[in-house]
Amino acid sequence: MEDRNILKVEDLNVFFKVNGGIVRAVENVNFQLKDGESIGIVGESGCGKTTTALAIMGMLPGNGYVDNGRIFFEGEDIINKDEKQWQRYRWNKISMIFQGAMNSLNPVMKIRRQIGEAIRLHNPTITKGEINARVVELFKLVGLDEKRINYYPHEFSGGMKQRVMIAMALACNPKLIIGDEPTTALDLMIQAQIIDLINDLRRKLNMGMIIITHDLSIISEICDRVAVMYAGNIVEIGSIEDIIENYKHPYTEKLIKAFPSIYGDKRMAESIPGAPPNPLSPPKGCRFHPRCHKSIDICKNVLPKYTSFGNRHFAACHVVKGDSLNE
Amino acid sequence: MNNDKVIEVNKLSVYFNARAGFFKDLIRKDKIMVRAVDGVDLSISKGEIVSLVGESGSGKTTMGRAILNLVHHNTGSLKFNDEAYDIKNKKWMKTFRKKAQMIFQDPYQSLNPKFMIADIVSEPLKFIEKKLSEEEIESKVVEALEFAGLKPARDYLYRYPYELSGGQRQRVAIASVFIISPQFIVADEPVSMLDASVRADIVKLMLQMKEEKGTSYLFITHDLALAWLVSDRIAIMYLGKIVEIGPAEIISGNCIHPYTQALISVLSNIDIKKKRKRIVLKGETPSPMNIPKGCRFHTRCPIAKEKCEKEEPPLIKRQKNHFAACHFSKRLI
Ligand SMILES: Nc1ncnc2c1ncn2[C@@H]1O[C@H](COP(=O)(O)OP(=O)(O)OP(=O)(O)O)[C@@H](O)[C@H]1O
Ligand SMILES: Nc1ncnc2c1ncn2[C@@H]1O[C@H](COP(=O)(O)OP(=O)(O)O)[C@@H](O)[C@H]1O
Ligand code: SF4
Ligand SMILES: [Mg+2]
Ligand SMILES: [Mg+2]
Repeated sequence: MEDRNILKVEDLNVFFKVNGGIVRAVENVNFQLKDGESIGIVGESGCGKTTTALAIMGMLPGNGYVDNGRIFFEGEDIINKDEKQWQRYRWNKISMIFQGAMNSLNPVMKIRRQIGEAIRLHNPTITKGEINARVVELFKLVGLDEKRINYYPHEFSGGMKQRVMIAMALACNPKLIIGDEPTTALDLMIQAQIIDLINDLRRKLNMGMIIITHDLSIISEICDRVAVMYAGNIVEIGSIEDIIENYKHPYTEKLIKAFPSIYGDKRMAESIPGAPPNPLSPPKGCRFHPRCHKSIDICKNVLPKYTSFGNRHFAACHVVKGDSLNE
Repeated sequence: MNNDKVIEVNKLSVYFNARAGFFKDLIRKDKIMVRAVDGVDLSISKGEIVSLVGESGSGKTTMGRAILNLVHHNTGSLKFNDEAYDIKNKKWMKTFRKKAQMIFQDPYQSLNPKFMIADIVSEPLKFIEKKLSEEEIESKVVEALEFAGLKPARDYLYRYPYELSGGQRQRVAIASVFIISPQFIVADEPVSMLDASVRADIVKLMLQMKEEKGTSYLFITHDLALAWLVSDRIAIMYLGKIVEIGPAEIISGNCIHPYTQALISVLSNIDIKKKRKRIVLKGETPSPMNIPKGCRFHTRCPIAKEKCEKEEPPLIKRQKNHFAACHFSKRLI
């Protein structure tokens, strides 16, 4: 397989204008995705996961804007495209399963029509017959019973609705798909089924994939690599194996140690002391320093640079020592 | 019989009249029953935490509500401190309400939005202790809020629920239950809507109540790992019935029922070196309006045989304190 990037995010800052000032939701975010690769983005609520994804989709809300940075899709910088050019990418090349979207299906429209509309919207010239054939094909692809294409959303369970959302995201054969909390709020066994489905689709369709979740175990089931976000920054990034077994950043360490294991010691998981910072005025220096068990003086004032640990594994922390990066 | 049982439930069933959906209701005349809880035995000892674990719709909330007599039960007998429920007796019920309380599933819905925190927390107390002075009530409210981790409590007294975060609301709900030191609490998914760090704090509070006051709990959750962590025994519920019950350790050790084993096999796990075998069940739990004959799990069971379609397996003792309802006892993981 040719080793090239399908997606490259460079020095991305995404801010929101709000009454009290500017929310620096995403700052200095860098990552790359090779063809067919899947990356997970993990972090606490509010750390900027969804915002990163919306920037990649060119779908930031009105008060949000890209302050800095570039996003390359197949080598082409897409950040400054106009809406018309965006439409060539959005849904056709990059598509997204939104957080909680399965609850926003139109309750009075049959599932077949809802998927059909999604297809037609992005291929205005397609015929009715082609749409119907495609809906049936998508139903099969995501493991739904094609006899149910004329059902209404309320006749579908949560797991089935999530399959519908996946089908819609696949409608135009995208090369990259972003799933924002695709299994959250589903029962354990249904989660497992959706994880199997996603893995199965990856094998069949060889898509790039970004999975956003606060549950590291889901990433470990689906993704090749993982980016750990804290308060708008990626603090560590690397292969699943490197992050879980050879983590470098103190925040990653806390995240992994907080993971409950019924095969480990029977004690309440350590929570990370303190609360995530106020996004309107994040702390100076390393944003994690007020909650960090390893912080030293320099952490309070200087933003740590990434150091490399080989195998595309990087962490941004003053305390851990790798090879410095001289760009 | 040793009688340290707080709650004893025998053959408890709760059926609801179902609507099959608007249109189907119009054409279908016969009544359909939702068998939400379908013949359950359960007892809880003093100072014991029993977790009730199952997927959504398995009947956990209904079971908890039936035990507190917040929903009518169709069959079964219930005992509280070795006394049969005397629900027609007002005096008995009043004592029962004082001693047995519920923490509800959703902190966004369980608090009355029109009441201030001080009123919400004092309400159960006023209902039970009519003779307390205003000062006594306030000092008890403050004490309960602080116990629930809302410090300084006076900052919260005159606020409304919408001014609090989800975690803070759940603490208010807990304070309003803890204020009357009940002997038995049904805690219905008390932490499932909360962030991990708040979750740990709230669970610690529950454990503290158990240690300090000998409180017993029915802890309802869909989180097996959390159940394993906090409880003495775990009951696994599937389609209105307990299919396995035993010491919390069966979860990490030798559970017997294929459903329990499947659930454990897909439990969140970041141990990438030791990838365990996953048993992903096909399809979804059947409707409680249409519970399969024989073993109710047979339609999804990976080891079902002919017998399972015909005979309902009883909950049989396997080891001390450990019961499972399966015709077999095969290890799958
Ligand atoms: N439209 C908006 N206006 C102002 N601030 C916003 C807006 N959308 C998001 N934010 C803020 O940006 C930050 C990042 O939000 P984002 O939705 O990306 O978080 P997330 O990591 O996806 O969290 P979760 O896990 O809860 O979904 C948060 O502080 C959030 O409050
Ligand atoms: N008041 C009610 N009327 C009709 N059906 C109900 C009612 N309450 C619960 N049910 C049904 O009973 C079953 C069990 O529900 P519940 O006890 O809430 O499950 P759980 O708490 O395990 O998610 C579900 O099928 C649910 O739809
Ligand atoms: S009784 Fe049969 S169907 Fe039921 S759980 Fe056991 S093996 Fe499976
Ligand atoms: Mg989000
Ligand atoms: Mg419930």
